[in-house]
Amino acid sequence: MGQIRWPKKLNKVIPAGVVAILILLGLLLRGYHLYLLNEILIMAIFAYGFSLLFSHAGYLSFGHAAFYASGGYTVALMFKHVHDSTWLALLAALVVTAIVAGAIGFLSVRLGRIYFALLTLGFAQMIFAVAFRSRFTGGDDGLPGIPAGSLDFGFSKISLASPVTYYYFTLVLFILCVFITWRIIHSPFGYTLRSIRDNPERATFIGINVLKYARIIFLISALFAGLAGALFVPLTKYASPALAHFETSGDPVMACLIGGLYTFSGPFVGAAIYTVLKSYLMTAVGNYPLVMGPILLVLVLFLRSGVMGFLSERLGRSL
Amino acid sequence: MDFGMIVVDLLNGLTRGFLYFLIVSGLAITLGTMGIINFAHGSFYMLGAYLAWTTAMAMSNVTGSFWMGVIAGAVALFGLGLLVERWLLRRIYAAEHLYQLLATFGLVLFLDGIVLEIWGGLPKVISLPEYLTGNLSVAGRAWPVYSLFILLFSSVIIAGLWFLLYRTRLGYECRAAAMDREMSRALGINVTVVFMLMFAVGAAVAALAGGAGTGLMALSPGLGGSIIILCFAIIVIGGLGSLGGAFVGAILIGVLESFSWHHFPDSAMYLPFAIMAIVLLLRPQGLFGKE
Amino acid sequence: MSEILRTEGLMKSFGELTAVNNVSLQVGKGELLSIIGPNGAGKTTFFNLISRKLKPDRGKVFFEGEDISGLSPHKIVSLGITRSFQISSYFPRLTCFENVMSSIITVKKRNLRMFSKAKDYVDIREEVSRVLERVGLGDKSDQVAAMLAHGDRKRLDLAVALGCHPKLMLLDEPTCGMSPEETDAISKLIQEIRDEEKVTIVFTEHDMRVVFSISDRITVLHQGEIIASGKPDEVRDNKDVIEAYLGEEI
Repeated sequence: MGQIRWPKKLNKVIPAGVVAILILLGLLLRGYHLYLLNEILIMAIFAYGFSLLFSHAGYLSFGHAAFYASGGYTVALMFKHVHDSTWLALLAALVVTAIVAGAIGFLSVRLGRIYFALLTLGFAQMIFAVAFRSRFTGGDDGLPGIPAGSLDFGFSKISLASPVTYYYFTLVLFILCVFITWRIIHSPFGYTLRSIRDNPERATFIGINVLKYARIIFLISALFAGLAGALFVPLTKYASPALAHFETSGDPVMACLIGGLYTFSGPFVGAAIYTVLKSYLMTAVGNYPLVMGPILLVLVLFLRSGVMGFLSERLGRSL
Repeated sequence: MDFGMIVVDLLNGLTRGFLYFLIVSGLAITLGTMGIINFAHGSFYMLGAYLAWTTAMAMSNVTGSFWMGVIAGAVALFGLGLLVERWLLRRIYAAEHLYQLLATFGLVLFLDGIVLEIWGGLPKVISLPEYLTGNLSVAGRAWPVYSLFILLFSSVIIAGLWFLLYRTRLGYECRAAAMDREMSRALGINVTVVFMLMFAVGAAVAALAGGAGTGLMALSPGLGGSIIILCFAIIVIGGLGSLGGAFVGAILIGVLESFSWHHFPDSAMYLPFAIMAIVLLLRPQGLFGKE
Repeated sequence: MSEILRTEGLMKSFGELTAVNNVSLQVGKGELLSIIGPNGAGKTTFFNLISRKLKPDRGKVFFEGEDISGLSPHKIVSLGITRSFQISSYFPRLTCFENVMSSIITVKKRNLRMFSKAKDYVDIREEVSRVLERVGLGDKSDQVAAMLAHGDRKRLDLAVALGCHPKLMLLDEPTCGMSPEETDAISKLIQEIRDEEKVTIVFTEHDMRVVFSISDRITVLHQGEIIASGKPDEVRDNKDVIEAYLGEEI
């Protein structure tokens, strides 16, 4: 396979360039396009969290929607009943997500990775059932009319009602999440995780308490998902049980698969492609699963390394 | 204590449990023999139900149309099972578990899409033949004839499965391959064919359950998804390697669902998972799983 | 010589088969002890019991005088016992450097550091390089483990175990599948590790040249029981041992 040379300077330039483009797009795009871009960033946060758990620790969760919903519903309820301060709502969302994830994570990692996938799926169903049935969460109608919130600095208050403002707010959090992901990946903890991923038995026999670190990364991954959900609800102004649905759990999986499971930019690129694709399929083609199914099959059978994985191989560099 | 109510609840629970086990059995066999978790198993059940419904509707003026539907569904899914094994599963046996899960999940989406495309999103109701309607009197209470039918039908199929696994050559080869694939090959067992046939059998049994059980569960495109998740809960409760465990798990869930329906009508959605969580807390490998 | 490891009456059965039957032995600090026996004698099972990969049906294990019988495997490693495996065990998608780095990070208890760059730690980098040099993989530092040749995989397995700064290493057939040259090299390496890293080593082997050339003491297992134990010369002439190995060249 031909390899193209890759100047090292590009490593710093590309992320800066991407951020610059994202800032610029916030000024240029309006309406549905801005909304879509915003959705992409939120999906990317969701996907980065998932990739920490799966690509680096090797645990496949089919129930991450549980945390997406925990974050989303908490923000909705906070805005409706408590205060429209975004800080407070996000903090509450993270706390609630942490509690839910702590419980689910503790139980799910005990039996190894196959069971883990099934268990996370089952627990997410429980959360879905609660969201669907409970009056508190609005039942199957959900909670409509959620405001966008505002950033209360004490001395001044910035309303996030304008889509542009909300977009930049999301962008800041997105950059923060990507930064955190980068740091974790290159840290001693990151290597510990990858040892667990590659050979959990060997990891145990060099002294790594596999269950403990699995639970920790599960929590971190869930917090990303909770944040994503917490950002999604004020964007759509609506919290519905779909947040906890099994298909929502599939979103970060698809995004990472499309973008490239084992590249750094994979989750972002995948989130972008997947969000746009999904949006197009849902409007242009009525029957979304009919098309998405074969796409997933093709990806799994023939294009396992995703878009960025493929490019990485060509360029000889990890992207 | 209303004795009659308890008896009826128990019978309903057993009925549900038997039906659940019928559905899970194919999945458990696939898992035990080939080591693959087939996400699409719930979709097989659903597809079998839809095919049965359509066939019965198409032949509604013929006697025995209900049965034709059930059999048509089973035959079609047997064929589909063969195709799926040959063209999808065979490519992913060697892949990591993640990719197996994702691949079968892709199949789920595709089959769900097909159902949506052909039959639309509105729930369908099956019309049962005359002799399956009405109620029996049990302990002074009414118990649907249909439930008795499900109970008997499931028992017959389960017995047939047992016979297949423990009294036929195919079953023997299947169990051997489940224990040790390489050794079985070395002993001359055609593992490839065994896998294909057993997978198809599992799909057909799910379709039988779907066809016969349509009176019990509303027919909608989301059926596959909710069923497979229930199956996973049953398998986790029973223990990954154990068919007997799956049976116990299925009965347990069926009975508990039946009893709790009176007092907590909404609980059906999360009861299986609550039980799963409790079992896992007390006995992580499931009721009958290996340590 | 002070005792570093002691087992008392270790027993493990798998159904009808008793793999380890009432094995009591002591290992002195700084010893090079080899455990030999025909296939199926219970050597690997014995290692699994000490490292707690398996739970014994009966018996106890003492390390440096402390009863470690109830501890979890990773805890036992942190006390100072590591092992290598018959089929080399390592982290296939990581480079050799990263493989050993996992051990070093763990022994230095830095697993929870999430915000610093692992490769920025000079002490970790130097230690990893040192261990890789020691086992002879210094020039393959950046090679992905899955790409290594068989002999190098065994070395990597050793390196990963050594990176934990163990006091006692259990090596399961370290020269399995190796050419005569590689076998000699690994034999020397094992001695070097014992001499220069100050590690007590217990290893199982089938290659008798290795066993008799480097062992301080030899313990012979047969059908799960110890049938002989002592210095190489004593064991070589032991009638029971010869009988157990009927036909094999010692």
